[in-house]
Amino acid sequence: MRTTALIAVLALAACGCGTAVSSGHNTALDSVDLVSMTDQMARSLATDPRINQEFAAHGPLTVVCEPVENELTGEIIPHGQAEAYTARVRDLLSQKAPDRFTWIMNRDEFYDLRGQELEGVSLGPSPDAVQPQYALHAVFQSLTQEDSEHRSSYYLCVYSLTDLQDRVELWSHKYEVKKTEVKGFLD
Amino acid sequence: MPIRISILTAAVLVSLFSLVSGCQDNSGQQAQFDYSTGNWPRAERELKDSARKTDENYVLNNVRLGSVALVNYNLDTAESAFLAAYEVINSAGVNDGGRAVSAAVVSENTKIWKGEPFERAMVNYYLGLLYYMRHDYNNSRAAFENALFKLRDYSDTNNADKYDEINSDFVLAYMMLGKCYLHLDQPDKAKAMFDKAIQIRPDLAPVAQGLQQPDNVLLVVDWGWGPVKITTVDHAFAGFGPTPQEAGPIPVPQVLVDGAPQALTAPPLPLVDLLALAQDHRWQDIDTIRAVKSVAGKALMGVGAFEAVHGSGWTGHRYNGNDVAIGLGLFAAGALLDASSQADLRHWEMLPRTVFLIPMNLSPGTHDVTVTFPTGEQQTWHGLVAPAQGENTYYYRMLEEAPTDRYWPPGSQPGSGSQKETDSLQPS
Repeated sequence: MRTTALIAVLALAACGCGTAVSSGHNTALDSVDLVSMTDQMARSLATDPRINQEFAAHGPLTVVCEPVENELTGEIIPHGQAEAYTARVRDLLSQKAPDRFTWIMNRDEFYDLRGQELEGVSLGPSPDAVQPQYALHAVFQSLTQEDSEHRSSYYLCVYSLTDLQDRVELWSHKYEVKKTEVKGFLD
Repeated sequence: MPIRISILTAAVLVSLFSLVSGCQDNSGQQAQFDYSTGNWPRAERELKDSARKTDENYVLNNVRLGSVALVNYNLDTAESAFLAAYEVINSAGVNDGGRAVSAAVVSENTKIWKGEPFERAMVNYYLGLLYYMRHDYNNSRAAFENALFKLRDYSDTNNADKYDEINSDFVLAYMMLGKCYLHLDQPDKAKAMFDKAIQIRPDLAPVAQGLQQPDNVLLVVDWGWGPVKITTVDHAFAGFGPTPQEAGPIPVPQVLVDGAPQALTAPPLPLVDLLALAQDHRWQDIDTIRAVKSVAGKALMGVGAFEAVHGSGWTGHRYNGNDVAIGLGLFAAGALLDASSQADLRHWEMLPRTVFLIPMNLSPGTHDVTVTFPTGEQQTWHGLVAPAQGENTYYYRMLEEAPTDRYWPPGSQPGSGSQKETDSLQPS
């Protein structure tokens, strides 16, 4: 009986090994936050009265997307992710409110894509040839604590639409979330 | 019949044990040899294959790959490798389920390696360095902060003094944080970081002051070999060696620019000693489990041997086949238990013993910059660019057997800056 139990444990150990990336979980912002956050921002931008007023007065707003500015505590935002957080807002608004915004690719993104020489993809005019009026900007901040038993992070992600000429903020919205992880055996 | 069953059971147990504990790491030795002899492209190629496998050595192979790619100046590869390791290290529950059971019951080698606290801190340190070299100071700052978290993680959270004691060996991260804040135009925060470093290590005040001066070139020099994981007392107890006393003092480098000794903004003093940091080995629950398994295994072997000898009739008693079978079974079980108590000796072999930060103010243009140590290591980068504005950072890994002359930009002189493979090289 005991031997059977031992064999069962060994068999479980042999068969039940997850991979290094299959069972871990952490406090970092993830794809759920990305979707939720950018959905909120796109909705807010599309319905904001000041933006509607600006559109009514001057037509479509010419906007350049900037990557997220990382002010997180102890957390890296790789370049691609930093762009994704504003690029998804642009993408959503391009679909939902195409008449209100004219999107201009930022210089880094434009030259990155041009460097990849993607076949059949038109990148449009060079950013140097078009002058945007507004910048969609985001700053992510966090308070993080970590010890041998826990890691917790409170995130404040602030998006803003700023007039590039006079630095006046036309629109701003925030996303907040708190995450906690309890460390276990072998962590 | 009982004997047959015992033998069959033992065979099944041994097979399963071999299956579970057979996940051995074979990448390290060759990679370490290629790394130390400058055959970086081959090491990188081999480690790239290993680093894709999300097995128990996933993090280890990625940090190895990061080290090799960094010294070979493939910064994109180094970044993605260190990031892959960073994500798993920062995650909880990576070893949940079968792996935790397997590590506790069968072999600790089956757990997904996440490194000791100092190794986790160094993953974050190298990420910070990579972003710093690329002038991405926000991500660099974040990585250096996380490096400090990893050592605080290890320290006693109920004892504030212990925090300082642990962090004191990692002033390197405070110094680099200070540099990041200077570039982020936050001089107050920068000063706070340098002050913290000086408070912890007053002897490094001249370095902190030098690092706060405007300069246009920063050399980051890795020297020596980091700690090696070894068994102590019994194979069930792991520790790191050598100790700083055994390894001797850390030498101080000299810097030559265009062949002439260079006056430095800060004295080149070692900012960390990983051999010392590794001596604060964290005792985990699994260490206790291993110790218990080792003692219990040896006890079972002793009892089993006695029972088998007793049943065999050698001690004058009547032969009893059942006693012999039971004794052999106990002995085998004890041997398995004892074997399963072996400590996990995996560690990051490429780590240096220490790091120097050497700021310099050079005339704008290109220069040949040599770093040389009294212990014989020497490396010259030809054509390093000193910018008219801003600061360029260059990484030096001092290795006795690697090429001493390299050319900027990397790969600009085939066979020098970016090394060709030499397949004839084999581990000794």
